[in-house]
Amino acid sequence: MSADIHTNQSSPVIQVRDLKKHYNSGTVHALDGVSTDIYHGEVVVVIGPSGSGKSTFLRSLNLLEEPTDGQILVNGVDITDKKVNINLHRQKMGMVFQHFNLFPHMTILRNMTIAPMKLLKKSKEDAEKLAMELLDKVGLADRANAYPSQLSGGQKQRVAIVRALCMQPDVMLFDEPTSALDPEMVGEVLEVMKSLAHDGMTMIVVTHEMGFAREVGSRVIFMADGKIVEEGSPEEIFNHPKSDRLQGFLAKVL
Amino acid sequence: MNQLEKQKKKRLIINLCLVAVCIAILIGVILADQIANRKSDIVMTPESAQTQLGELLATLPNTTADCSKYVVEQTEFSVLSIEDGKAREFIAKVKYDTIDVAAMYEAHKEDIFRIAWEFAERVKAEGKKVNATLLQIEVETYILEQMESGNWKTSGEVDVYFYDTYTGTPVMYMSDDALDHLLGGYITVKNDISATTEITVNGESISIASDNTFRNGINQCFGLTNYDAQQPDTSSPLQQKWNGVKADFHKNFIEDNRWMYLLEGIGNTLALTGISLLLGIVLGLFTAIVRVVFEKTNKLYYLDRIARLYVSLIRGTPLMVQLLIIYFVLLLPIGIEKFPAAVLCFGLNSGAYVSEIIRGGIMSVDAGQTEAGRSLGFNYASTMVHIVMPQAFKAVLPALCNEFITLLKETSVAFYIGVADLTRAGIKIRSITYSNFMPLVAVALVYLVLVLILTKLVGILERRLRKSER
Repeated sequence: MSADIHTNQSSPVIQVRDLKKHYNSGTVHALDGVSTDIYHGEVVVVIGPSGSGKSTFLRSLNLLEEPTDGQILVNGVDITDKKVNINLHRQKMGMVFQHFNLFPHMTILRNMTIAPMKLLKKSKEDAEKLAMELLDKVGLADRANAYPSQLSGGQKQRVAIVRALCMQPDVMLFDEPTSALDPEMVGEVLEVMKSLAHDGMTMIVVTHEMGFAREVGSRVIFMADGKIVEEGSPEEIFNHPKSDRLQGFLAKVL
Repeated sequence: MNQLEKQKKKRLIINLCLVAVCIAILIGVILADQIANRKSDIVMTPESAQTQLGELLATLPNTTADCSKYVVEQTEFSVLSIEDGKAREFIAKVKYDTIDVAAMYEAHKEDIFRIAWEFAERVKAEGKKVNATLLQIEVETYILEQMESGNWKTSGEVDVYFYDTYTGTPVMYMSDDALDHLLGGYITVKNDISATTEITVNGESISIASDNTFRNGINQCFGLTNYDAQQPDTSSPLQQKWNGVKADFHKNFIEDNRWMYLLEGIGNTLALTGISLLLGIVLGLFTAIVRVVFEKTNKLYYLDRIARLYVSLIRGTPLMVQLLIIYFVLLLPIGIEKFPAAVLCFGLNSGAYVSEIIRGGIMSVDAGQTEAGRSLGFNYASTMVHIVMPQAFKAVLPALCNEFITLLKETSVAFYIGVADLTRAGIKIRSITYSNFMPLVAVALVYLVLVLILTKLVGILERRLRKSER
């Protein structure tokens, strides 16, 4: 996997340039000049205290939050440009939410196939074949015709992950995917994310799971007050924190 | 658990008590009714019966008919005994002695008709019009002569009924049949004259089917033109009330098929409500979407202004005023019918309310659903269509059904512009029968039943929806 990172380091998948997000006509700075590059195959873990802007940062990457200023270049195209069709870019960026956001009125299979069928114009057979393969991978093939309300939290989140994968995205964004889960269900979701990382998916993960960050992350970004305070390998961040903020944060969470 | 059982027991006891009280009241009412309907305490004697019967006979015959006067004068009768009949009923056994009018008529029928016919022909030959009274005078002499000359006597016994109707003196009731006997077949004769359509004069058969003047002339000789007695109602007060209700019901709904008004009204009310609701849903959906799109994306500013104006205009004015303005001010001048005008009014009206319901439904769908849709690459419209609207619709379906129920009741003001809806059916019947209770209560009951049925259906629908979510 480290070989992957090196071969692609010359061309970042996403380049974030001085991203700013202001609320309440400029008085609140959720993002205050964030810049970073994300390379193919990287697993970037974003950590930080609540209110640090890490979720806003993640949601800005597919424009669920519209940044006030700055640029986001995806494969060299600035998606903050109004002329760019953001819907096409979102198809290539899967997103997993804290609260799963499965569609409650559809079966699991329908949840997974509606986007490929309507947007990629896949045939029903093709879409369902891929969906069943993915469900099989996460051990939920037998629940394909169940409704979301019939699943546990961990199962829901696994479905949410494979729903995003059904669009065969280049990048996966995870917005605190385990925060709303009961503790005993966190493991099963992290397992799926781990195996996804091992398969070489480019992932950006906002999480409070420091163990996951340390084990799976290829790079860790520490954010506070809308800024990137420190970034580096898990080894550097967790074992040799430089800034006081990070040291203070780690002291509280570890 | 124990607490619950105790409560259940307590409720059962209270319910049983309530049922017992109801039964006691019912028994009380029936008992009171029975007591009120006890045997009459009027003492009825043969003498008083005789007097009343005499008074009746004296007033019965038509004063212009000499034959009837003669018969009444010749009739002798005496009340033999009084027996108790059913509740508050007395039966007087009357022995009579009278002229056998029927036998005389049978024997002279041909002559009577022939004489009348010849007289009529004579009058016609003189170029005059045949007049019933002249005919009567001509024929009566002959009939009277026959009655006096022959020995037409008959006698027998007949039952005459008296009823205590709580007025102090008993009311006499004599059936047509009894009267017929008492007066020697008088009514039989009158009926026969009325039914005769063919006579034979000098061996020649002549049809008089259409000649009413001719038959009336002969008939008048036998007087008794307007005898019409109604049997007094001696049933118990409760029964009388019930009979009154039955008669009222008959008058308001059965007579002349007046229930058809109600049926037609139900049809029109349902059609009016159904079409209005469809229009309302279309309008409401459009308005709701415009407002939500504006709220979420700041687009469609002017449409949103119009939608807001529409909703506040409709919600801020009474439905009745809207109806009057839409019909009399806007649509009547351009020649649009009442029904479409009412549909438009109720459609516009419910559209405003439906839009608020649907808007609430859309807003109630978690923002995460939109985000999930958008993050998969759906544009705003497709997210709405595939993800938000189905959930919103499911959430508001019961509320929409309730709007339908509300609308059903509100359409009752449509009668104001003359739509033949259910309310108007009641008013129409009321204006014909001058009853208030029956038609208006019937209308209310029909609305109630319709609403109860719809409510039940909504309940079933709601349960179905909840089941599919589990």
